[in-house]
Amino acid sequence: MIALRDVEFSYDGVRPALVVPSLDIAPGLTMVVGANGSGKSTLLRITAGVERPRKGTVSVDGRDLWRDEVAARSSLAFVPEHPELTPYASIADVLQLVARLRGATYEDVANSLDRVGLLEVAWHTVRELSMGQRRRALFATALLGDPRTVILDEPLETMDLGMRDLITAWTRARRASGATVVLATHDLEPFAEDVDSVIVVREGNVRVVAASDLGASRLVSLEKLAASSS
Amino acid sequence: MTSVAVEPEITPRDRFVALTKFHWAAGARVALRANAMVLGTVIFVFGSAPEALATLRNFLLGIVGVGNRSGPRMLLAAIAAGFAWTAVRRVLLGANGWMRALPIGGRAAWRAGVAALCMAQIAVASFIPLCVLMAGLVYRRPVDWARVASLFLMIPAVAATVLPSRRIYTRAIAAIALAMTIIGSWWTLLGCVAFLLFADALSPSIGSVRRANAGRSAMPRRSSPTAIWMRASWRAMRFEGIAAASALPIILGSYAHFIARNNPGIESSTVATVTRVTGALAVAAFTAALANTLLRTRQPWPWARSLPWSCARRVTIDAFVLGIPMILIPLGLWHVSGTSALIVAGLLPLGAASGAAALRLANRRQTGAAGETTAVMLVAGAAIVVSPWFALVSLAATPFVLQLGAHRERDEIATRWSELHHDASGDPGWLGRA
Repeated sequence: MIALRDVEFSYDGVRPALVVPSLDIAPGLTMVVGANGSGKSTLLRITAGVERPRKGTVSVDGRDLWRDEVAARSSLAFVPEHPELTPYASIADVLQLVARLRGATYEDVANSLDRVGLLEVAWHTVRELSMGQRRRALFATALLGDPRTVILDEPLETMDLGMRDLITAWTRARRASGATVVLATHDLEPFAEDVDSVIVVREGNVRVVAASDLGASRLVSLEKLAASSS
Repeated sequence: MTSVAVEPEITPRDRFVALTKFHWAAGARVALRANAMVLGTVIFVFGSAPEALATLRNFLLGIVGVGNRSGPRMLLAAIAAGFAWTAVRRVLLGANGWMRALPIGGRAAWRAGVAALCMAQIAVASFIPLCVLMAGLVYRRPVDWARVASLFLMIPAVAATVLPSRRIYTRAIAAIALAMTIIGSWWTLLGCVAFLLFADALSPSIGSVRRANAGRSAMPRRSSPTAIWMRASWRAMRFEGIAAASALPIILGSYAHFIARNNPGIESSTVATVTRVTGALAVAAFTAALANTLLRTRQPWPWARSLPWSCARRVTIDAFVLGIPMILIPLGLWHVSGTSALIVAGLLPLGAASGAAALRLANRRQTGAAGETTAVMLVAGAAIVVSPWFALVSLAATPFVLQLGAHRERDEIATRWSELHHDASGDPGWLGRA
């Protein structure tokens, strides 16, 4: 469960990039839709604890992200749109870092790398990888441990067919296990049938639409919502 | 009859000239500016010597005068290597990438690289005739022409030694040629020419070769998050970055040695004070330079903020990243005055913490992390000069500075940091932007 209260965030300290008076994200799959630059990624980054809101609070499973930093993040996995990894760490370094912080085992690291097809290049530093491989490495970090809150920003972008299937199946499994999965995507179709709620972001403001309001043809409704936000 | 336009034939020489001109325009010319730092350091060190003119005379005569002293020539070779070394990264930008698609052979590319690095040593080349004139006209000593001629070969030998090659023995052969130029007889001169030609004949090409991790398992050893973060930070700073940051502190620290060694009757209390002054200045300079090196080279890694570790922990790790290389300062001062070196060591935790804290606001400042760090450390340094007991105050203040850093880390907007500064990675000196 993620809760945002009276949240305001601005990149330049003048124009608000996101204003959220109140938002609760319940367990299940929540899709974030909106036009380019509407504030989707900003919402996800604030929810993941990457950016601290200028005002208001964000809590994950009842723990404040900025007052109870470690506990609030202990079961949170974030996969950003851009693979923001320091270029000088090896893939294995990145995964071990996450594993040690999240309490996953050494074997989990090897398994995660194997699942995303990066085991053979575990020694390579981030700068030696292609964009797709970097994104795979970041997704592999989400596979570590048993994250109860998963935040994915455009998870299918630049991924090949095999990885798309893996990500879609894993997301469904997380949802089925009762985790809170939040994902922003323009690729609506693979997730349309599993959506439990939709957050529409428009010019930094959010609106929640329940799955029951989507009607019979979910994909069409989602496409309409996405189009209405632009 | 129709006339057919004949394309002019492009000879290997044309290609070499074109590439050399490109290296000059794109890299070596810019590198000359960076060489000012090497030149400045050399002038400063010579000027700081107790008998500056006598030192200069010995140096010049050791380079071109009759005799078999090789110390000054080794020093000149090291200075030349410093010039070439600072130029390598600029000259080779793209040499391992798009330039490999150009219609030019590996040997020509290597020769052009050597030529560019020779140009970067222009200060050494112009110093040689000056040495000859000074030795003959001012000091009125005979000149050894074999040693003079060898000096001109020292420049390409240094360039070939410093230039990364895909064949490791190319540099080894060039290093032998360089050693022969340092000896400086007619025979070694011939040997040097032979070795340089040999290096050229092996058709080397520019660039470093990635060694296969044959002996390694797919997964590396287990590391703690702290070790991983520190390793990635030091890897980003590179050895060269840390070494460059240590240049000014070494000069400042060397004053304690100069003063203690060249004044036999000096009182121990004066030596202790001098050690504290130079040590405090060295700590301030080193902390500031290291913090800016880390700031410039390591991406802020915003994603890591979503992991279950606290802001305070990340700041503390950065303090260790900065603080561990600084241990060299009290170690270097130890044999001048052990007690004062310990007092200077007391400044290190505060220096490391203030550097880590300053990193968190650095993207909004033209001085990066250096300005704030220098200011804090100069105040702390002045305090321990007045009274060594202030070292304890400095230690006690460290947790508060770390707390300040953690507070800043929480409030930092990480998302746009990289766009504003690190995306211009082709310009390694964004801190100097107007």
